[in-house]
Amino acid sequence: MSPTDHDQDKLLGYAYGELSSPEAKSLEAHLKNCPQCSRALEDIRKVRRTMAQLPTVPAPEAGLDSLLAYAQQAARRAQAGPAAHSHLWKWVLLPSTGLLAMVLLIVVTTRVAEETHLSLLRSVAAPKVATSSPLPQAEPSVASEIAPAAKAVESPKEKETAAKAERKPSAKMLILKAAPQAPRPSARAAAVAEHPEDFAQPASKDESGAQAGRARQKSAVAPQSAVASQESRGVAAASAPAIQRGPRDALDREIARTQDTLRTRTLASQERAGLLNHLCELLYAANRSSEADSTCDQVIRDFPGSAAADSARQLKEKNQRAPAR
Amino acid sequence: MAFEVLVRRHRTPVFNYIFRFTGDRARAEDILQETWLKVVRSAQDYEPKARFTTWLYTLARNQCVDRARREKLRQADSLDAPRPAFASQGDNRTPADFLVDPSPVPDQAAHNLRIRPLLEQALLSLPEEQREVFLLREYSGQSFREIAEVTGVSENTAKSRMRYALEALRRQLEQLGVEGDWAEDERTVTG
Repeated sequence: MSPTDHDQDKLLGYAYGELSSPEAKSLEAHLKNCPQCSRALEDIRKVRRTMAQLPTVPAPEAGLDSLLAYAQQAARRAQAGPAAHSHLWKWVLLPSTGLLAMVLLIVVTTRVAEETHLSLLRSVAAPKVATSSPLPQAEPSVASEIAPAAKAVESPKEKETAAKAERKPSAKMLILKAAPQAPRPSARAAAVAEHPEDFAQPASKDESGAQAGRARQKSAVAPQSAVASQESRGVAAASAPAIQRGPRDALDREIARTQDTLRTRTLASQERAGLLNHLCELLYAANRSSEADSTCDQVIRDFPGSAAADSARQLKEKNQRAPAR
Repeated sequence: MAFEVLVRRHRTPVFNYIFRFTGDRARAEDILQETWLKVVRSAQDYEPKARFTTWLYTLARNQCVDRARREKLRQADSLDAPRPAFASQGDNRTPADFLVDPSPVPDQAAHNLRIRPLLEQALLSLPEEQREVFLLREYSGQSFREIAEVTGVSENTAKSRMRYALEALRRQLEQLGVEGDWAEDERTVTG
């Protein structure tokens, strides 16, 4: 009869010296009368004797120094404690991160502003090449809608309305509030400057051709951001009726910006021609006729045979015929 | 430094446990280093109520089991393939080669040299869960209660695995022609 699991566990404990003294004595007494358990114990001892011949292999020395160095480093870190970490975080990492975030914000804002300004100018300039042809008088253009603002200086009531409109954040609202009246040639530049995207859509109805299509596209993709809106409002203050009554510096700023863009940016020839034409209009609007004439001449000279050159020529002739404002 | 004392005291026993567990010297060296690094990193997790060696062998055992699991995915075991323990020592003989060894046995040292690979082979033939219990009890001197803690099983299960391990070793050694009667004396490693 083979020993039970319980007996075998006792035998194991006995073989490995894990039994208490009374247990060991009790088992020894049992073994004297149980050959199966005695044989089982002998089997365990045989295996143990045999397996004990496996030699102990010395641990390698390699890696011991680096391990001890690592342990020392860890101990030093632990001694420094978490307070040192929070101290470092508080006085070095936090301000550095804040500063970095501010710099990033400034850079991103500047880039967005620049891009917005450029795309605004492009969206303004592109349709003007196409809209150089005379507008049909019956067309309820933006130019005609904005013109009544010119009367603001004469009528106190309308002046109040215009003032309210100027406080509104959207230039489009200002346009819609104004009652339609007969367009005036000088109002066109103002209308263009005031709200280029609105200008581009009705103007494109007037003409056909690729330029008009491109103007619509550019107008459509022009960012409608707050910056653009601000720019638009800033330009609106310099619109033709406002030119006569409003602050001249807004117009001058727009001229300076356009000149700066032409000077510093690398532009496709069509974009450049469009922007030069825009500059012509602005200069005429600002009564800087000689500069406007020379700018128109530059377009005619540099882009001969182009729509921009035709537009510049017409613009120059129109302004030369018109009495000086 | 207290840590250095601990390392020097336990390094060799732990290395032997890992080496016998894995059967591969290079792998055992890697695991030994990983185990001690783990000791340093997890020092705050050590609870003084447990014996340090129990905690140490738990870390070593977990490293061995993880590594074995990864290795198992990579290679299939084969009787014809050289055993890793022998291969790492430049001995490419398969276990079958040891069954028929006509060389004479001039003395005990040569005899021990001859049977050592057989003993290693017998150990490696054990299922992992039996081998670890046998190694921890026979060579590392852990009690069955401590083995149960290290391996995460009950004490009875640990003892049961030990019984199976002893029985399997007895049979394997018989098959390999190795018997315990050549032992110089009644000594065992521990216990």
